Amino acid sequence: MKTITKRGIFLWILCVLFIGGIVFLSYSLVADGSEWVMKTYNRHVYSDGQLIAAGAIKDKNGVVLSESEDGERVYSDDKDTRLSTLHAIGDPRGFISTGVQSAFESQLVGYDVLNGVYEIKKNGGGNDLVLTIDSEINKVAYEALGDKKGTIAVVNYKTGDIVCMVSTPSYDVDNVPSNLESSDKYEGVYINRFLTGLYTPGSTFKVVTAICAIQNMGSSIYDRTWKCEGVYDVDGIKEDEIICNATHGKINFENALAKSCNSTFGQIAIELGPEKLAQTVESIGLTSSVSISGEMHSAEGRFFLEEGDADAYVGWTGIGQGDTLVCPAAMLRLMCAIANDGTAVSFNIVDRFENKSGESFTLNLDLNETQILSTDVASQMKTLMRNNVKKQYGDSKYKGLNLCAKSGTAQIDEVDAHNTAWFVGFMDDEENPYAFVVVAEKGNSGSKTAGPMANKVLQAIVDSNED
Amino acid sequence: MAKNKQKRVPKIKPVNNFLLMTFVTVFQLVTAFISANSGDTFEIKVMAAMLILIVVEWAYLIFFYTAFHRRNFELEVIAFFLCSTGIATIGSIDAGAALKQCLMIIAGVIAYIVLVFLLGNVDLCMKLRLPVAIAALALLLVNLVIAKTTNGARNWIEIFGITFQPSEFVKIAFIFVGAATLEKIQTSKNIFAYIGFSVACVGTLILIKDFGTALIFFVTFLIIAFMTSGDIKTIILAVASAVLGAGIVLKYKSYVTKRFAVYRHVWESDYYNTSGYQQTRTLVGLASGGLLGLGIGNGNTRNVYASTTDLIFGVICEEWGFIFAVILVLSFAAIAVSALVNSIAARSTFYSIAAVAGAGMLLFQTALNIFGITDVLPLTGVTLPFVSQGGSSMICCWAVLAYIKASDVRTYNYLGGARKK
Repeated sequence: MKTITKRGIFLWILCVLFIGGIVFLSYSLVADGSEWVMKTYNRHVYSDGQLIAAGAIKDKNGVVLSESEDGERVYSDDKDTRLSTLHAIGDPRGFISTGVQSAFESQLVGYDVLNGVYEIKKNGGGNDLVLTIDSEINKVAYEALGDKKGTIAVVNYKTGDIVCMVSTPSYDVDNVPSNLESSDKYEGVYINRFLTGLYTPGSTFKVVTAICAIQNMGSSIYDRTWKCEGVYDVDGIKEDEIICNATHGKINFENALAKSCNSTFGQIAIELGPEKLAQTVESIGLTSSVSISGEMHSAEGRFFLEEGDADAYVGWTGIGQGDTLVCPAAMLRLMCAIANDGTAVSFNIVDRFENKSGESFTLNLDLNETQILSTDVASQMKTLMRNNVKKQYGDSKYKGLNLCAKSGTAQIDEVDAHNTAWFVGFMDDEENPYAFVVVAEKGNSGSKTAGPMANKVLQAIVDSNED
Repeated sequence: MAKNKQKRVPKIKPVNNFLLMTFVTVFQLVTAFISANSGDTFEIKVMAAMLILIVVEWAYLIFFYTAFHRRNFELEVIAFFLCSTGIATIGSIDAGAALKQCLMIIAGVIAYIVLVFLLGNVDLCMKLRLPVAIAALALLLVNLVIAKTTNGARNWIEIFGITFQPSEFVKIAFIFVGAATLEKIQTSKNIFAYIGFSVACVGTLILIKDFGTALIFFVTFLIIAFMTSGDIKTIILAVASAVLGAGIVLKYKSYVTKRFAVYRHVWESDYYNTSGYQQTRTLVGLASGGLLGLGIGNGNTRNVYASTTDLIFGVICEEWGFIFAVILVLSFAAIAVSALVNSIAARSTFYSIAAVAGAGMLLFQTALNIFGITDVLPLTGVTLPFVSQGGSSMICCWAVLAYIKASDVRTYNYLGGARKK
């Protein structure tokens, strides 16, 4: 009879495998359950592609920006709030995939493996998400952009908290325009231009060239002068000539940046050479993706200089024309580093989550600080950019901001009106440690179009902090 | 050989059967009430189906306890527990189906009682071996003809509005013939006869493209082959298994490749709305239900095709919770272990082989079902024993359970056991 027992071995093995299968399934449930629940075909959570069981999204002051009500995602009552926060939140159907509503959907739903979606269905959504964004400031920024396509973002460069993030064109989710998909007016409406827009940097790139020059030429650069005759003849070929915005004559480094002298920066770039420029671009993260709260990721910039490139190409690239494309988020990160002694803190849009019983929790992200510039280089750049405002843009236009900035006017074609207007920088102010980026498509001139937009938003922030 | 052996009765703690049955009854009443209440109106049919089942199970328990002095009812209690979970789940989806299911359970219990009596008489069993084998083959032949005329689209027969699946009844015969043929001193003739029978069974299932059932037969065949003694015969059986296995794989090459294409890839965009539909919906439901479940009637898996049959485990996971669902299917592991323990002390190898093969069949089918729909194994489309809706399947499960019951030495004590010796 003992042999019979032994011969039952096959069934014993089957039993063990069976238990093993259950253990595996249990493990999968615990490990991947939160992912399974968030499938858009899960009718407990979604209806017709809309998130029906999720917490509210609020701005830093507690203003409700979107919430789930009776199986629908309902947005703010205020039209301007809806328009100006659309890209930060995301649309109800998830076409704007970079919004917090998509990025943090599982936290918003608040799934837990013990109760499944039971509590969520009962209480109409899991956790509320409180953003670092101030919707009032967003409204100011949206208004400032006017009918221009572009983006404005402001971040606290000490904490990485994003205070303002607006992308245009936007649309009203409560009154979706019928020509949303067809009209030129709404071209790229589902894109958050701050995160996924890629633009020719124009003269804002001179900040990068200047950083590279300081890193490689040392302090002697301040003793040197360059000659600007309005046109810089690189190699005798007419097409390769670098045309300047004016004839600056004999000009030093500081003034060349303030006046955005193309001749000077073309020469500096050629002297530095493609490899050193490429090295700097990489080390300051201009071609890397910038992440926000670990879940939202920007597009990667494009930079093509490499060893052996022709001088003309290097010169043009050094003044921000050429083929270089920069994401506004990456440019803003560079501004933060310059303002913050060379350290770029990771961006954050989530202030906290609050569950239904009022307890709050955060994402527990490591505060990611990266020293992308030496303290010395950062402080020199700060002085240079402060000088830009003092000498060129005028403190009177940016009252009380103690602004450090650089404008950019990126040429897209022969028509000046088509230029992309940039204005980037930061406030050198302990009380108001804010860095900003403004991009306005077809903005003609950086300092004239984008500059005032930045001023409006920064003044509004300073005012709101004083209240 | 077994007859002369001293039997070592396994020490099983006596369980108070009445207490156990009372627990099950409370469970049944509560779940039936919730199930009946889960829709817009109170479904009296669900309650009625469960009450009938409760009457049947108590009548069964009291009758065999008093008239036949049986004291082992653990298997039946487990089976009634599984069946009532089925009634409550099916009833919450389709109240009318609960009553039908209840009738099928009664049919299953009757088959069970008859078969347990029959198995008590080993000599009769041996005589019945050949007729049963022939009847099984005839059934399969009918099945084949039907499959041929309907272009392989079905493997069930409809008589007087009642549909039944011949392959389910062949399952019962397959174990019976296997155990009865290999029990006695084994001649090569016996072994070859059984191999021939197995090839015929599996072959027909292959022809009608019932991959899941073919696989169940094959695994049962393996268990029976392992249960018979060693030497040359084992080698013959092993070779035969290999040939059978290879036959299945070759025949189903394109089918198997297709199954494996979706297997572990169900979430991908190519599959989640096509061949991975049932699996993804089951897993989404599983996660939505969590460990404690959403409550009967509150799930979405119920709306997926085959929710009362192949996907019933998914419905239970979502609505009753994963913890309950795991306890439910662990019942099958418990049945298997009890069969293995019984087989040690069984009156003859006939009982041992039949019990282990039967338990293996139930456990393997359970594994194919629950792991198939959750993408742990490739999906084959078999039902969950005792729980899924379906008459033939229910009767087959009860009949297979009879083999395990028969292997328990306590079952036939009333026939004499110690006394008659």
